[in-house]
Amino acid sequence: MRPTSDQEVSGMKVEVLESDRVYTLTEVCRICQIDENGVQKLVDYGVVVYEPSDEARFRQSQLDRLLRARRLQEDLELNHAGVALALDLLDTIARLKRDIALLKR
Amino acid sequence: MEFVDYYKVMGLEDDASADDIKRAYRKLARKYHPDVSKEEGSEARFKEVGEAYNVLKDPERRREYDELKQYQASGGGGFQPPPGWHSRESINPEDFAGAGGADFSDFFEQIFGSRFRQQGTAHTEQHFDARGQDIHSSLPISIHDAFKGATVELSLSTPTMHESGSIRNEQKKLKVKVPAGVTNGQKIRLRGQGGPGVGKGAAGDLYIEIQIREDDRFHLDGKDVSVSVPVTPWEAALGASIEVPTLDGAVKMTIPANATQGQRLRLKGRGLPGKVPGDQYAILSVIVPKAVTEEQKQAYQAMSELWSLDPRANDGGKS
Repeated sequence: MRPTSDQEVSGMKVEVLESDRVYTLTEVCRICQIDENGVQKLVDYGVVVYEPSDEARFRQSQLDRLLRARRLQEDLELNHAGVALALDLLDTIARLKRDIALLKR
Repeated sequence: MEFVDYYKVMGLEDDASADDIKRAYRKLARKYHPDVSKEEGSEARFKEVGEAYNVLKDPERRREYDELKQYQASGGGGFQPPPGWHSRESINPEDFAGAGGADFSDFFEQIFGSRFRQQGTAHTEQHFDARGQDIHSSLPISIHDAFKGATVELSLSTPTMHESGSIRNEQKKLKVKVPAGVTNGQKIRLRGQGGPGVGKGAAGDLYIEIQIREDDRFHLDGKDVSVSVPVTPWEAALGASIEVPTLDGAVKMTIPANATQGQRLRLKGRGLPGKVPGDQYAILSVIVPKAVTEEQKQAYQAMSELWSLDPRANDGGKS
């Protein structure tokens, strides 16, 4: 991991992480507490995508998406298709909200 | 301690059926899920609802809760469980998965907590190496804090090792120094602030995702900031020197002659700071003045004669 800047804060080191960090499949499985099949399933449903150059790696943004998908699945009892739809709609809503905010100005 | 009315939390009557409870939970969970709702307080509400549901969905647990509720109704003021109170049942932490999981109110801990604590959450470690669990959390900040940097208090529940060797979740408050120039969705890491390691394993790390709240005035796109700037038609047409707000206070900006509605003017380096600082865009919004007095109407009339402009000349819908 490559921190871009370090700051000492009351003995605690705060590191700002680059947003293009890439995770291995094993790391992703551990962080999301999910097995490889589970990850593959979410890839198959288009919830997340592998790093284009590498079939077993995920970019930070994809990991964040996976974590969101997992939380939604567990908390709202969604199946794979449902969570894929929910995330797509949430993305659309976020984009529309941004556009509306800009237009309102 | 305050008695928490789980029925009220879920908007239910005391005699709600199991189906009512399930329906109410599903509806509230969808509404307040922190990944769905960005409204302030939704996460706290979601946790509250999750806790209520976890008690009310289980007939045994619900019966115990109802007993306590009756006991509470006979007393007054704050709530203490009856002397010698023990939950007859042990709670499986697996039931409490998800965002709201393993993060209970003091009230819940008091009633159902004792067995749960003994059980601990060590089971989550057994599949992995001895390193402590990494914890992922998010921190909402204002755009002004993102610009200037700020020390923000973050409260989260983290697994904490106790003398007995058991691991249980504890509410922890951390002061996090957010460096100036963080962007929305950026992660920061606090080493060793995650879950405790097992044996000689090192503690896990705490990852915090920065969430910059929407601002009424400043809109963010990565490190760039855009602001809408209202101008008069004559300022747009003749050019002007005006003041525009930036995150660092108002600055003077020159509007070129014949500027147009929606035109984006760049203030270089006035966005979020960084190695490569972002820019600010002032988006011109031309305000059309109303013609009220006779003179104003004449001025418009004079303009219409001077320009003889047809803005719909290229309108394909024209018949």
